[in-house]
Amino acid sequence: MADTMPQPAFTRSPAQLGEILEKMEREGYNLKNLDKLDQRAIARMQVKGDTIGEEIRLLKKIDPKINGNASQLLEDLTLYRQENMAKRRFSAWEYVKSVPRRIWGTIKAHPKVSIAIGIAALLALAYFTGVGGIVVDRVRDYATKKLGAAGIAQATDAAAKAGAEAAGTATEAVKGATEALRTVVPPPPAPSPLPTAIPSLDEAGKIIDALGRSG
Amino acid sequence: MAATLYLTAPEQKIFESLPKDLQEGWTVENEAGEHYESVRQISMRYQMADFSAYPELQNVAETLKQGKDLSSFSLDDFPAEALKELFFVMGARGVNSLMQTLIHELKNDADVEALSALSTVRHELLSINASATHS
Repeated sequence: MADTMPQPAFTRSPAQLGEILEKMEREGYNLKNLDKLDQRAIARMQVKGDTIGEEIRLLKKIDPKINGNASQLLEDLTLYRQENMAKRRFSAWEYVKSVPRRIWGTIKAHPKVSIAIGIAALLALAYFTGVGGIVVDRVRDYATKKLGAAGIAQATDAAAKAGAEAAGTATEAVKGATEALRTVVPPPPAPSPLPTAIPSLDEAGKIIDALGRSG
Repeated sequence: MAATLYLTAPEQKIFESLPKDLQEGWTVENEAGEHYESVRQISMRYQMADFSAYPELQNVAETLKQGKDLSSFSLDDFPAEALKELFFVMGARGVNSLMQTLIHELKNDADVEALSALSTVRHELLSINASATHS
């Protein structure tokens, strides 16, 4: 598998999106209106020839290179801001620290769960460390060796038995992950790109298969 | 630690089918949260992840790169902050799927404790997602 893996279609890296938001704030824009800005700007851009809204002008002032992708950039800015705020809130939540370590250790006694978490960690790390395709290949080999097709099928069955909503979530996630694998943006300067995957055992097997097909 | 399990209706049925001694001492709260992450949200979280402060996690990646066995891998090897980063990247939908696997393997109180911990993490993530998308 090539190291140049596809990456979700964001117009800028998270760091660049953060810089643009900072500049917008310095220009006096109220970022609380960003989601509304997003909708208004998109609506305007749908009207042929009318692309000179206040927001677009501001974005062009901040980043003259945006040209035709202002709508996508606004969507990405909205998403980045939303997820950044969510991350801050989750980071401030003390519960995970308060859980006795033995409880997380208990999960080790359940190899399927432990391996699924491992796959999640590894895929996230692959973004960060830039080892890309090598890790994806190794994850696939490892999961196949440790779980086998039967193990993955069993886990999928378990999800289905847990109820339609769980199964639906898994199906939707796999579909979405596969879709995400097909989207591409120019490679950012920092971590090398890697496909999005939903980190769970039942989904991981399918995602790993999808990764193999995409390579 | 509060002995609470946040379970969806189908999960509650599974829990209620367990031996009575495993169910004792737990308060089951209904998990009604529906704000699971979109693929774009999860994609953004992956790209926002920062594990630079956690060499333990980077060692796992290095071990895998070298093709070595990961059987010694365990969540309790990681600092709590690294776990938080990991859970946020997974999102409620990732934690949810872990629960779907674990809930069928409950054999003792420690297992139920682990399920409770995961359910609490999922509950918080769903709550944060709901407020983030409706603020």
